[in-house]
Amino acid sequence: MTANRRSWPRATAYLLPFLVGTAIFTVYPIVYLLIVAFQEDYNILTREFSQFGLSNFEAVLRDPDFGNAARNTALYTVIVVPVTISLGLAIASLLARIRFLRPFYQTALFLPLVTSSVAIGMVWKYIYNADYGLLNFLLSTIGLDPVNWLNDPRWNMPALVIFGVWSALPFTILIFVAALQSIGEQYYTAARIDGATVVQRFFRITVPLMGSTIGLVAVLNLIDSSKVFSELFPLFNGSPGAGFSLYTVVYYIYEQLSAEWDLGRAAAASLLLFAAVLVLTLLQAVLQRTRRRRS
Amino acid sequence: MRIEIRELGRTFGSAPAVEGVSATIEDGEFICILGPSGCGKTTMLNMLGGIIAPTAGTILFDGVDVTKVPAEKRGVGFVFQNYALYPHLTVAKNIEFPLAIERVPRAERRRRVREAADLVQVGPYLDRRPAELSGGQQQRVAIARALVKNPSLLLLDEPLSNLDARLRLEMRVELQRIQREAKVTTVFVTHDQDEAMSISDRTMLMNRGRLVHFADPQELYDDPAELFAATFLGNPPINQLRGRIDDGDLTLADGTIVQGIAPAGLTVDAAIVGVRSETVTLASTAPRARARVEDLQYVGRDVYADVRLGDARLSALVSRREVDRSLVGTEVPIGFDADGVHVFDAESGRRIR
Repeated sequence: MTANRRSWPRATAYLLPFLVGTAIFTVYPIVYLLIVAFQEDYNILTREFSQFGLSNFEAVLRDPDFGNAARNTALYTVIVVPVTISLGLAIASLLARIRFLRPFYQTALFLPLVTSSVAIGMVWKYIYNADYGLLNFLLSTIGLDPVNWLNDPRWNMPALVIFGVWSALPFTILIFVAALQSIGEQYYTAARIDGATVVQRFFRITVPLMGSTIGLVAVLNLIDSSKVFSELFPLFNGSPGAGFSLYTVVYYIYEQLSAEWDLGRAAAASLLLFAAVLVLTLLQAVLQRTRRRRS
Repeated sequence: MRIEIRELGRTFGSAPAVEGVSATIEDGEFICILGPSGCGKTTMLNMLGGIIAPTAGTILFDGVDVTKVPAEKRGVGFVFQNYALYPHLTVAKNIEFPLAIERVPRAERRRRVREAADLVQVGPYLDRRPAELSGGQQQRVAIARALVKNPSLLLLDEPLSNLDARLRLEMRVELQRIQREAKVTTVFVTHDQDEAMSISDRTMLMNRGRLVHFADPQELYDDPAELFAATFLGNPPINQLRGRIDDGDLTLADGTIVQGIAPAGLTVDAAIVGVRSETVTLASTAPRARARVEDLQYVGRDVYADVRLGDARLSALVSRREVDRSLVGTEVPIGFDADGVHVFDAESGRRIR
């Protein structure tokens, strides 16, 4: 470190606003959450509690509502992440080949990221509308019966999954296109000389060379989709779907707070969700390392 | 495989990269395409490999027109300048790649990978990744990958340019051995004249997209078809005397006359006479002119003499026994060996004699 002694009070002064903000809005809540999760019978008004213990976790894990929420969240994640990755990879590979369209799709892909979720919700409500929605119209053109996407408990999850994939795709595609462009053209020429078809080149060169990027995007999407909750507002007016079919972990946490005023349980459920994502992320990292070592 | 190239051309936009190249490469020959950068030699190679489509002319492999056959169906082996080894695959898997694509049975695959690896001597490194190999080893792996499918034509794009000087000399010899053992028709691109001279059976010398001269390297040096060939090959570069030739006598711009440098009876208004430095003799018994010795440079066993002949400067390669320092600043009779003197048309660069 070559930072000179005189410059560092100044540096601290510059950093202070940011550090204070982080401390108040990030560090303090995390520490507070960690503590509250282990405080039994916490009273949100008086801040009193009986003792430190695991009763909050026990209550959450025994709660059938939490079980339902965990199942729904897992189902959502298990479908959304692989579908997003495969679709994203396919679309990115095609887009990367069409050079002259690049300025167009780079803008188009960013639109969902910068558009108000209310506007997006309006559009999707129209798409999903049972009587005059676009999706049902498309289904009818191939001879399928209309589906009550937003009010039928069997179709709520598919509706949310489609919306989730649609929301996650732009970011995924942008990252993939960037990664694809960093793969040297000469590998493809070499493979072509060796007789590899387009499909063979994709699976034998593109996919392995994109391995670490795919892993990274998978983790980011995993973290994102495990927190599925806000998507319920534009589509379902904040209800957890017909018959609680979209009751997710974050919805459970939200309910513990807003309806039950049980900060302890909310904190415990948050920690459990965090632990699950952490385990999956580490698992992904380990898998990738062994795969790299093996091949 | 016998390769016939007929009137081959390629333009990028409106700029021609290769123009009207015709040549025939015999089965099993080791051919170098030599030329300065931008002369179209890599474009030529890519057209032979099917990576770039020609805009004019035809290419025949053993009499079959392959001009429109794509790279993947030509069955050629290609070694890229930067090797293009797949970074995620081991050496063995890299070499095996073309066979895996061809769906060659596993046992045969293993045998052929082994053979190719032994041929280029990378047997001990089969389990390593390209990143764990030196440049020379990567080069060998790239050659093995190109040879493993028994191509009828092996193409190499400046394969030695990324190696250090010593390794380059070593790989030249290696390449010759590998080519002879594999008995494969080989085309090799380089901008290095020594490489082309030492390695190839015949050399295609290219300049500005045109094929200047296609011959064995010694002929290229001894009998250049154009001034460009004479100047591109040889070190030091060939001496050039500009002037008028009248019945074999050359008159330089300042009036200096060099007698009988060209054959008697030859008359050219504007000529460039190319003289190889090793064919210049000082203190000649059959002098053509008198010239002033300006400097002597001792380079090991050779001496280069800087000579002023009228307004022209010549470099003469002479032996140490012929000269000593006392010559510097004096005028000496100067002579030329007839077989090192070439007369070119100053305008077109074509060789006249």
